[in-house]
Amino acid sequence: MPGIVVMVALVAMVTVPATALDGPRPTRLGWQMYSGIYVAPEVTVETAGGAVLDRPLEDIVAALRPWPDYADAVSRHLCETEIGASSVRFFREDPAVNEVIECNEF
Amino acid sequence: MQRILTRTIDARPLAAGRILIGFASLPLIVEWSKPLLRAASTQYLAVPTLTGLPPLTPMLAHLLIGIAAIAGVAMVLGIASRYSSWTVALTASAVILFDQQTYTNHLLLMALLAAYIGMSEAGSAWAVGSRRGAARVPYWPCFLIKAQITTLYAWTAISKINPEYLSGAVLEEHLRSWLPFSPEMMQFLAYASIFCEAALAVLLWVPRVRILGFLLGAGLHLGILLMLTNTAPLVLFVLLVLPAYLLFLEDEIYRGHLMGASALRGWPPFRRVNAAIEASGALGVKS
Repeated sequence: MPGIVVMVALVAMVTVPATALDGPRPTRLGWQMYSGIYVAPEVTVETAGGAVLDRPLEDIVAALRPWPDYADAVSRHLCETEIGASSVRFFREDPAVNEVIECNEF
Repeated sequence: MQRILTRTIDARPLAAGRILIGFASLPLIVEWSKPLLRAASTQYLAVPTLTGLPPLTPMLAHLLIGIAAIAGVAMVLGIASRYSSWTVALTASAVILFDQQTYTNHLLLMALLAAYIGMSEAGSAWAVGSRRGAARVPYWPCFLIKAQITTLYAWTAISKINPEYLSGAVLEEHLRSWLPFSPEMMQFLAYASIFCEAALAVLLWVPRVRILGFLLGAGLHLGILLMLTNTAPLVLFVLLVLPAYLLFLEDEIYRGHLMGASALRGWPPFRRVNAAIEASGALGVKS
């Protein structure tokens, strides 16, 4: 039994972080401490009346991390909670993000 | 492989590892409880890691915090060592699984190391109710702790090989503002840190050069603590890697001489250290 445990653990130590190499850094499960700089996208809500409201991501989420795909969850949340919201925009210069999610998609 | 599975070691370095990991788990609770409680509340957005888990409620979050705190203290004291270590590992795993935003590298590392301690007989020494004397315990969980830390060094080095890190920009972002480093020095530090981490992954396993690994590891972690901002998680990280260093040190003593096969064995200070350790029978070894 210990032999199997040691083998499985060794294989996991070598293979799991390898799967995390593909994609932006840092991410989870890859021991990628200090391997990159995470810049959170700016989030704005556009209302039906045409107003554009800044909604900082760190005020919405439980903790700002590079790995969650916040777009769907945050836009759904803002569309439900912001009165008169028509769309939610995620914008970042580098690496480039410019995504607009219409509230009527939910 | 057979030697890894059949060898035994003095329980005390492993017990020291149990105490360090259990101790590190306690301030880690403070770190992960904030995002966990936020995710459990209705005021902040939760991002579950897995679907199909029971909903994360404030009561469940408080229960996890309470269990982790009790188990962490029990792990330090060596009370029901296996169970308390596994409880620490499983509560940390549950926290990671409940919400993506609770994940940190040191939380995962702590969960893995606590699991390896849970597989070991680390409660045979320096534990409440343990018998006095130097018990011998199976080596293979210690091998897993050492392999975990050295593969971590290797992957950390590999993940840093990217244009952003090599430019020095990442270090510049995290470096203490009073350090007067030029962009060229940042670049040099970036390359040097990758070299150190990659070298540590190898040096600690090679008896002839292990002493260089100890010195390099001490220099790397001390340098990180002195030069980078946000020190608290970095201190926790040192507490988590320290058990592996203690176990590599035990390896040196197991081989009979602390510096016996190293390139520096003739150096008088190391000769004196060897002699002192052998004379005292520290860590259960007497020549």
